Amino acid sequence: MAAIATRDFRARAAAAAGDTALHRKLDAASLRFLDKRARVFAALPDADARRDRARAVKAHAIATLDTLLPELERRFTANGGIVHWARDGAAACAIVLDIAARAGVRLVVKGKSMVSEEIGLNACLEAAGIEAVETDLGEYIVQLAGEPPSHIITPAIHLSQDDVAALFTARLGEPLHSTAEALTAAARRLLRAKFRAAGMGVTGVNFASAESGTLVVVENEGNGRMALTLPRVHVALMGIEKLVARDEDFAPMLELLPRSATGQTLTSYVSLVTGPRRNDEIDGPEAVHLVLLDNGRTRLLADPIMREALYCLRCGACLNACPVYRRIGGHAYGYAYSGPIGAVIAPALLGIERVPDLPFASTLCGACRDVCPVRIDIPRLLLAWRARIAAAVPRAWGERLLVRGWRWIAWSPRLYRALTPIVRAGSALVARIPALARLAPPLAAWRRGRELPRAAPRSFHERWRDRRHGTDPDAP
Amino acid sequence: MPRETILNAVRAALAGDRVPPLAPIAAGAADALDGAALAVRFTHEARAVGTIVHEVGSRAAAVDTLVAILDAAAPAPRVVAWPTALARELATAAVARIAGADLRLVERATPADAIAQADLGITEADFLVAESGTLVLRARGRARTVSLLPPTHVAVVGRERLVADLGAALARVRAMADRDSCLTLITGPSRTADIEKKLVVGVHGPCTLHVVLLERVEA
Ligand code: SF4
Repeated sequence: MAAIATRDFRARAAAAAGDTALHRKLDAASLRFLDKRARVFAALPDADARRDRARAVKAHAIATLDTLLPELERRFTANGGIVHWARDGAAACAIVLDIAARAGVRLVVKGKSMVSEEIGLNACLEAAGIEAVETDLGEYIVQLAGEPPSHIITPAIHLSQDDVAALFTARLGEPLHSTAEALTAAARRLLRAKFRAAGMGVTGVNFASAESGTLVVVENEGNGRMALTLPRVHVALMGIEKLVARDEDFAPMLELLPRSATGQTLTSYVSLVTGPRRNDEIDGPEAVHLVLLDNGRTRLLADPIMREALYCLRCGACLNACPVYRRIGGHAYGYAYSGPIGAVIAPALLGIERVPDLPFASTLCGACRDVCPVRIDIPRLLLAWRARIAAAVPRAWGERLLVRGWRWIAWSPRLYRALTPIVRAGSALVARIPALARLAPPLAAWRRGRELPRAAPRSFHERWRDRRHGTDPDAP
Repeated sequence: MPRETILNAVRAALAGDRVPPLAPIAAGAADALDGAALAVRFTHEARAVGTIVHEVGSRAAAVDTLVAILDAAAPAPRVVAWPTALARELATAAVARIAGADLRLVERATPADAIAQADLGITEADFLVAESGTLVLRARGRARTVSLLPPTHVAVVGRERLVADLGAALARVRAMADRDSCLTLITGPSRTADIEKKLVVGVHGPCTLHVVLLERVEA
């Protein structure tokens, strides 16, 4: 993980907003995802009812975490696994380091895990002299580039094939490959050696059931299976919100996650892990550790408005759907979780002082809510964060004055009506002579990146009155 | 203790919440399909994700199919296989018909390198999920790496192992007395779209996945 840079959002976003090459890459990938998602959802019978059911499963699990977490611990331990609890990222990293030290591990292979990005595990392992290799192709690419992932599902979404080929040549000494197939084959060859030599595999967890202590790992490449099968130690990192109550809840979740994420009916591989290798099994790890991470999640849980953010499956659909994400990319957000859901959970996990801008990086168009498989009302949560941030973090005086003035006008119909013709005339004037807008400082700042809309020639009330008299000139 | 700190925070956050019980997950509509209809659905879905499905009527035909797959995979192919009854029988019969072919039944701990060097791994699916074209593989007595390390994976299976949907397959697994340490669901070959959204198969797992689907397994 790069250092958390949520405070630099404005500068990073402004730079990315001018990067048309980035926009092309983001559009190409995310619009394809969205299109495939729309098609598989159209083909899924009762898709809306299934989304309601998935939401109910998560809502129930989150509301009963107090009983489910100890139950998961009991079950997983009975299966022969080892459970660890981590209050924050540093504690989780310390736990993994300790496991590695006790097992004499020098090399760690990693399946895709957003929690690992969240807690900055790679930097931690490397500081302790342990090599950590990302093995998901996209994660491998961004690790070689020395960058954080820029999308939950497609970490290297911001890089072109030529970028990747150049990277493989510079960092790995590969000849300059000219196809995605050749690049993938190179990664397969190089990472096979790592899988063979690694003493520990680290993966994330997509779902876990309290009923049986089963961990579900969803992936397409087979690197997750490698990481949880070949090394002698498997460490699974899991946010406490990933729990479901029962094994039968897996099917409704697995039905929706791949469809939302990549438009697949099911991913190539799903592993359901209950613990270490049994006596009558031939392969698999000797030890399986489960690290349960809080890191601010209990703060979300205690917050009745924000709690539903814990239902998130990390499918990435809201990123693809977001017109803001598609213009600035994941790096602008400065945190492991980007896009609409990132803007909701970052203030909770990091504190609003460190995240003053992210909830404002939205048009509130609602596209994220429309695609969310568990129907998280992201715009509502963003608005709630805005209100809290506005109350806690002082805004610029110009903005405060403007909003105060607006409130005063909007509360008085008479004042509103009286001022309307003046604003209309002003707006018409600015439309004719755009240089005028640069004169008023608050307007000038606002206009950077926005078009000043022109006031309609007649108000809704005027049109409504005319319409009732059949004299509306704009009527169709 | 971090455990107590976290659990106390969870309890405090949820204090006073009343939670209605969760409804059981109802069986899907696909449950009503019979064996032949399930086979049609499975074949359709599996082919859609790049699995090569061979529908065969008899064991003899299954062996013929395996011989053809082995011949195409490599000259003098090296084969690793599960020691389960059907996989053992078909693999043994097929390998016997190819000059220079080598078969290793993986019955006990075997170095991963030995399995990785094989051209082809043969397993036996415990269940097939019709709705998504998915293979369900258990781990007890069956090496997980056989379906992972060789470049080609062939699963042999009889039609009676077909179930309608994932929920039904997982319910069958739950009903088993002993839990395996790992249950693997496989839907198509290993794939990625991490470079410019281009689909590439065979990233870390097998590039090619065959399913030999027998109409009847009983002799
Ligand atoms: S908020 Fe919803 S759409 Fe966004 S990643 Fe989470 S589950 Fe997916």
